[in-house]
Amino acid sequence: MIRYRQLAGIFLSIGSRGYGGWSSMALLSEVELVDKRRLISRQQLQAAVATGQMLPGATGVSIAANLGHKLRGLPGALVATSCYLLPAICLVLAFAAVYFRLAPSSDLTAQLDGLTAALGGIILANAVQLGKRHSNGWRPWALVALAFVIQLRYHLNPVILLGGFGLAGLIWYLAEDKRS
Amino acid sequence: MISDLAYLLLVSAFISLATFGGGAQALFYQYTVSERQWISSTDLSAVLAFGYATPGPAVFGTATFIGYHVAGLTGAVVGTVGIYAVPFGLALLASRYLSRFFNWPSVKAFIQWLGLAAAGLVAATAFRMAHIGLDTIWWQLLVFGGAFTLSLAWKSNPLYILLAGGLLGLAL
Repeated sequence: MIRYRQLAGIFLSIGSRGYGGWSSMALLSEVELVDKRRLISRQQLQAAVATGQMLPGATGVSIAANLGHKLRGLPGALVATSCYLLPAICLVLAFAAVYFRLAPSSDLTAQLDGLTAALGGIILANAVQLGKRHSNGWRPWALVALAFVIQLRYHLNPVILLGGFGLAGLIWYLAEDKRS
Repeated sequence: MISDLAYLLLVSAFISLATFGGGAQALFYQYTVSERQWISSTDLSAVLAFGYATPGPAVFGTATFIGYHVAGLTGAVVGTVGIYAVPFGLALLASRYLSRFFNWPSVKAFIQWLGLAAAGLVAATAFRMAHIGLDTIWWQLLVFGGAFTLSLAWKSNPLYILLAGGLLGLAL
């Protein structure tokens, strides 16, 4: 049975190296837990990742909680999750402290032009990846385009947009199901 | 202050529940920039950029950031707990019951269409964050396109992309 200290160390390490979202976290978890230490099987890890993807919210957290739980129950889940998050939380806290002390927003806008443009590009790439994840074929992309246009034109409350589409999907499925 | 903390907790929990793979940026924008005006659009861009450039969750760190701004360390704790408690709890429950629920075809259809809408929403947010409009300068479009291509095609580290974009912005 893995010791808490080792569990903490592993997830601290993962949490300080997983750049670019949860997929790198999943990869690091596989290397650390399956390849290097054989603490769990690859199937168990893949199941944890699949579960994490299925659930709402931070996927990395779901994966860490699941893996920690597998390894040492509820305390394990708490240790794994908090250690995974610790580096990121410390960093963003430090950033917040510095940012709000040094930066009156109005002055920064011009200087940050390049940064916001780059950020926009990265976020757009995220959007495409998200679309790919939910698409099989080209037709779902029409829905993506529709949501995009609606949002640009009408600036709906995102909850209404998301909930509305979700509901539409549910209705569409029920209609299709009734037909067959 | 208590009402601020309560709102922060509720909003963070809500955003974590409504995000199936993406869309949190737009939700943060809606609730903390548009509605409550706790931070500005520039502040949100800054913390998102920081989140992408650093390890761990990229977008959700915004809850910690806003919490700190609103109510110091207490706020930061509230925001952090709010945004991560739901996925944590659900992951623990997920083994039997939730797996079955999330595999129902009707639920899958709901989540799929929600996810597709989220993709469109995030795309719209991308353009908004980059202030892409009719008066956008040509090099900004290049940086935007470049960052997009590098991210998608080459899966480049966001930190380098942001640094490059930021430096270009300062230089030009």
